[in-house]
Amino acid sequence: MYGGAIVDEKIKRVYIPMTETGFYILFLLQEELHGYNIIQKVKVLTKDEIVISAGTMYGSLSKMEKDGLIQFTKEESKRKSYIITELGKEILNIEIKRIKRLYQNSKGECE
Amino acid sequence: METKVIKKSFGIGDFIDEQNWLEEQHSSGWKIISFDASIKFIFDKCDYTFEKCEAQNYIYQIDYNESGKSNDDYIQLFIDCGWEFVIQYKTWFYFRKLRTTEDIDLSIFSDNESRSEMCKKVLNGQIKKILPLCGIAFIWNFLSFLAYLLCGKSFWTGLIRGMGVGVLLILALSIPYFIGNVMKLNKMIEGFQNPINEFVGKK
Repeated sequence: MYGGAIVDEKIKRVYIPMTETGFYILFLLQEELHGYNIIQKVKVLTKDEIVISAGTMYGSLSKMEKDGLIQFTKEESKRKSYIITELGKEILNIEIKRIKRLYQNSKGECE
Repeated sequence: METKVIKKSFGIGDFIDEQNWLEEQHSSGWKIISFDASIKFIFDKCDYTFEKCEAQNYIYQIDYNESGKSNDDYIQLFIDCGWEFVIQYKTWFYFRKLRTTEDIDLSIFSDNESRSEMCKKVLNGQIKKILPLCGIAFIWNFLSFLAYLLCGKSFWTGLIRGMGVGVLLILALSIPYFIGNVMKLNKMIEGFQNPINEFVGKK
């Protein structure tokens, strides 16, 4: 149903459905960014509705890096940058499909 | 600069109480400058040193971070988000921020998942501390019993057995405290995972 059969079942169970924080982090890391960049971008995207706090950001980045969804790219003036990995892209696509389905169903449409 | 030292003990599961207490101190004109723990292994007996300052409404937040080695990027992220890094004790990091009406980022965690994630790390850390102690106690007592069987009663086998009993006593004393911490942390994790239950429970 979801596609992406290569994706580890365990990883899928942990990350899908995703938290809002998790989704925005993974979504924005399609380009290389550091943690505080992401926080600022999420603020803009959600018109200040979602402000990710420092501890939450640090914890999510560490966990996603450990699970191989994102990878560390460089450290500049004490700020670590990351970018999404192939596994991360697969997870993100599964989640986007799921959200699309939810949205369509909510309007009374079927896939 | 005028300073004062307060001896106080907060358990591993009491960091929210500790945060509140530090906030109270700051709002009555005392800011924490250092922190000395004499035996913060399983028990937490600590010396908090405060410096006289302007009485202000600060938010204190305590985080648990095991990443070790370099914490530069970790602390930098908090600084970028407007937090002042106060002190570090082992894996515990203390941050503070002046409470203002414009700032909406008043906690170091913005969702319950990350709050409960932090409590889980604290809980795991606690278990990792007590397990080796249990292992040592068990092996020590087993070996001392073997020594007693093989070598019979002597000063040395007696000493080794005595030490084994000592380790067991320390364990026995710390276990109620350990269980208390585990229960507190578990309750917090449950509360973060089911905030509605928590709310209903309070009514």
